[in-house]
Amino acid sequence: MIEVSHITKIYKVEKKDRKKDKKAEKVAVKDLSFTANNGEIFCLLGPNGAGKTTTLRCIATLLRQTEGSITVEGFDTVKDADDVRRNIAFLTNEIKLDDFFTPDYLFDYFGKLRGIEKSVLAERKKELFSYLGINEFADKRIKELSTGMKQKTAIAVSLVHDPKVVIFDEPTNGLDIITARLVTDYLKKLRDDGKVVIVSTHIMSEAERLGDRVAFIINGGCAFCGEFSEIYEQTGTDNLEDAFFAMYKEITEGAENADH
Amino acid sequence: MQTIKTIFFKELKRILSDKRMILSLYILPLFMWAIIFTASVFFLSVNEKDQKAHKAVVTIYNAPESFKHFLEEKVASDNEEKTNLTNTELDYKIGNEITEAEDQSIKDKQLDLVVVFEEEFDSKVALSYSEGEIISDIIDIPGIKLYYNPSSDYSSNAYTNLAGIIDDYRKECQKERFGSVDVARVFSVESETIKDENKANGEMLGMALPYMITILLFAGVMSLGIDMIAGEKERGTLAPLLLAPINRTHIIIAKMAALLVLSFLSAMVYILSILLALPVIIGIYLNNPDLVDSAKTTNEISVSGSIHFEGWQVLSVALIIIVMLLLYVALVNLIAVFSKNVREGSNYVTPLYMLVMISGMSTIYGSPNVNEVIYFIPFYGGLIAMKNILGQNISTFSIVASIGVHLILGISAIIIAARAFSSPKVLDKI
Repeated sequence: MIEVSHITKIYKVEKKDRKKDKKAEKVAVKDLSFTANNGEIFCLLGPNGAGKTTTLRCIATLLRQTEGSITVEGFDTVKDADDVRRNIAFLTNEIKLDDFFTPDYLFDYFGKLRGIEKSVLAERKKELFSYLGINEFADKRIKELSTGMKQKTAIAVSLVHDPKVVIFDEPTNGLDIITARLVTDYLKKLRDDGKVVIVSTHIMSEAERLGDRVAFIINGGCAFCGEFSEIYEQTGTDNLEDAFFAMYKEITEGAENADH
Repeated sequence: MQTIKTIFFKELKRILSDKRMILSLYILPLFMWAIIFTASVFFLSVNEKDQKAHKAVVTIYNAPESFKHFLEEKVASDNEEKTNLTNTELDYKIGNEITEAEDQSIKDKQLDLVVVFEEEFDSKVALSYSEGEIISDIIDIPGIKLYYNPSSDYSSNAYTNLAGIIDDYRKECQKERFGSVDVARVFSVESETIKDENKANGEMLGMALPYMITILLFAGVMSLGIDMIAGEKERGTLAPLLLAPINRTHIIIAKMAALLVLSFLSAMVYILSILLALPVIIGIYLNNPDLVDSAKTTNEISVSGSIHFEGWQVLSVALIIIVMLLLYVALVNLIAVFSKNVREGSNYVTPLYMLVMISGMSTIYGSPNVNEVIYFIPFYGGLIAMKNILGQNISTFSIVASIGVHLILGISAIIIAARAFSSPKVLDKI
């Protein structure tokens, strides 16, 4: 289980990056809270720059939140960072695999770093490579692979240690329809295995098809967190896209009125 | 320890199985000096052939009969290697001064040399001396003027050749007058050098080695080191490593250790490349007796003796290279930790590289007898120590001081880099 409790993340803006408003700080996430349970796919939805990736990076221990706390399987992301890392898989488009190496080498490399026994590692490789269809290009260098092949490899490598929590940021971004389906099906399998799966996406149809619960992240805060039926009811809509727009409009107009 | 080993070998594999890296880091530098010197010899010989093939155009005004006769004899017994007289177009003229057209021709490199003898040169030479007394106070000694263009190789060569012949001609005149050139000599000077051949050769290498190491070796460390951390940040390949439950200090140590090994290999390659180039350098001097002569008289270069080093010298130099590399690697990595990308890292590391370069350059000159405090200065002290170890002008204390300073600072920089690598400020940049 993941519990995000009132987190705020403030970045310091370097002088050279400051724009007209000359603000020395940027609030990326503000007082955000949600819970993702085992055996469910939890979708984070929001426009670009809403704070989705920052939130996921905080959960993955790549960033430290300025305020609030996050626990992953009962471990605090700041105090027990290594325990959190043992339990999660984190995948984002910004995280890449070294172009120079092969999927085969990188799988073993990260397996070794995570202290996985050779026999277990071989078994995991067999399972993941065969499910994701990596065997045919396992000995090719990453730089020779297509976007889909790279994504499949990144998924396999991130899951090398069979984690309890899987966090995928835009997992089907840039993938063809067949590979995208393969990935979403695998996420469902992980959920069915009892893992916590958090997926960040801006494709509403994908979230609708895949997710069990959803959170809308708008302007760094959580605008809604719950089941799909709840948001439809709350916004008086019957699909996620309309529901999202209704909520987005309400919040942005509310903010503008408050400014005036 | 297993983590460090795994990352260390991955970093080594990354570089050592990349053909382009191997070529640029190890293969090319290995033959670099031999290639540079072979190329110099080639261009030198091309230039020499060109000079020999060139027909020098020389105009001589008021050439006295005695000189014409002297010149004819010289041409008849010309040693082509030295004067190339047979390939000279001589034009004898009468007149007091070089003409404007000739002046322009020399500038335009159409004419190589103009020699102007004073009118009635022979008779003035005869008048300037009467046996037993000096008349030069009363009568001016006749002069010869030479006009040439130093920016033209052809003109400079023609000048050197003719000036040599004129000097021989002067000696011939003196000989006729006094019976022997030595009559005019008041005293003779003979100089003999007293030196320990081995020590001198070591000093010679000590002059070149620190400089070459700083220029070439640290440049390699700089690009590799920045790429290993800042480059990985930029490419997004560092994040998967940070997501693994491993101590971040171990990541830094493994990367630094790999960089240290790769750089030390590089240092060995540079030293080997100098040794490979030695036969070529010696070959240049053996095939060029003039250079050997000038080298012997000026004591600048000695190729006659072999260089022999004691065990302590080899060990001390190796240790100093290692600790200096350690400090440099640690500082480069520290900079890379705080850099967002390779460009930023390269910008930050440039002042450090310049500092090391200046230290390297300053070791080319300067006395080997230095204040012992200098050995406590990072980089500069290390390079001076290296120089003086090769020249055998250093105490054990100074060697230990230099090694110790670099070691302490290097370890401190590693600790700071490791701590910084775990700080939120640095993490926000990944």
